[in-house]
Amino acid sequence: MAGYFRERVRHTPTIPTTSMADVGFLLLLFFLVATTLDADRGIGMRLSPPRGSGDTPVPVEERDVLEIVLRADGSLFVEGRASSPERVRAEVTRHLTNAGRDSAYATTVGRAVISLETERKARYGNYVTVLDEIWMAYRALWDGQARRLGYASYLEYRNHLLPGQTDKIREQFRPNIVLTQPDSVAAPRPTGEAGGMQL
Amino acid sequence: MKRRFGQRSRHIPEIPTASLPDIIFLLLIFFMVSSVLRQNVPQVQTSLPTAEAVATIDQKRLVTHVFIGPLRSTTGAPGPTAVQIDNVLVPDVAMIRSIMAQKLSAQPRLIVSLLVDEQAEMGVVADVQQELQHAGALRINYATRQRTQNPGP
Repeated sequence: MAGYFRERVRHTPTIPTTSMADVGFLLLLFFLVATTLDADRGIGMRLSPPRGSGDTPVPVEERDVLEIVLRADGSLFVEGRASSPERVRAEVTRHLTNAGRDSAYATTVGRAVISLETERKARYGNYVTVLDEIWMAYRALWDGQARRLGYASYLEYRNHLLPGQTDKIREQFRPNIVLTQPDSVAAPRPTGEAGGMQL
Repeated sequence: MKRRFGQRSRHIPEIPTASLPDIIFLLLIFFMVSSVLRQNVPQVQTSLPTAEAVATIDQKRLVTHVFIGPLRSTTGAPGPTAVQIDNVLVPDVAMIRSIMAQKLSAQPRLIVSLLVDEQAEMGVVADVQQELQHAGALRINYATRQRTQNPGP
């Protein structure tokens, strides 16, 4: 009898760990349901700093500015001519890659400015469509330059950049998009810095 | 000897389940670290436009959401256009300046993501942008959905 009791005392109790997995699963499911994994995506822009009263607008040549006007009724004008969103990309590409050939378009890529003027009553959806086309024109330009440097695409070039390295393609073809409102434009047109936001 | 071998083959092998909780916990910790709990309850309707030149913002912590669109109503009919920052409706557009200045002092690398309804008028968007400009919150993002199919030229 005595030996029997001694044996029982020596036996160490174990905590059942089988249900630990269930507890973990429960927590896991809770976090899976409660989280939103969709990242913020969209068209990134940088607004220009607010204009001080003493600032003088940077003089921009008329030919360097590609004027795109979006009207309230959704109609679109490029350099005063009636156009459509599908034609914006080609127009912007032509403007940027002109390199001084056509006197109506930009002298160099570095000096080219895209001015997007939207009336206050215009739809935001139309505005984004046009802005998207402008960006795609720039992206095509970056892709072309990256291919010339021996990369498959601009994205690949960017991924190959080391942390401290500057993006030379972006530097060379820096987007210069000016967003304006017809009401806020007080200065005469040829000053490209007119109203509002610049990248 | 013969009997012993017979006994061995009758033994059923068991899969060790002791490390299962560890695997689950590892998954749990991964999701806890990588997730952000839903923080905004939109009170305005925003059906986002689609675009092709879309970039993704990796750093969620830098982003502040500004919703612009018609107010949600119980009847289903769209209400007047309103502006909402995070969880609160902004009664006056001029207030955005001080709100954003405050956010900017807490997070200097702030990115303002504008979630604007497709049908909204540009006037409201321009007013908000002007306030952001004055507040110094210059990094903005027009939230869009990615367009997958390529429309012909």
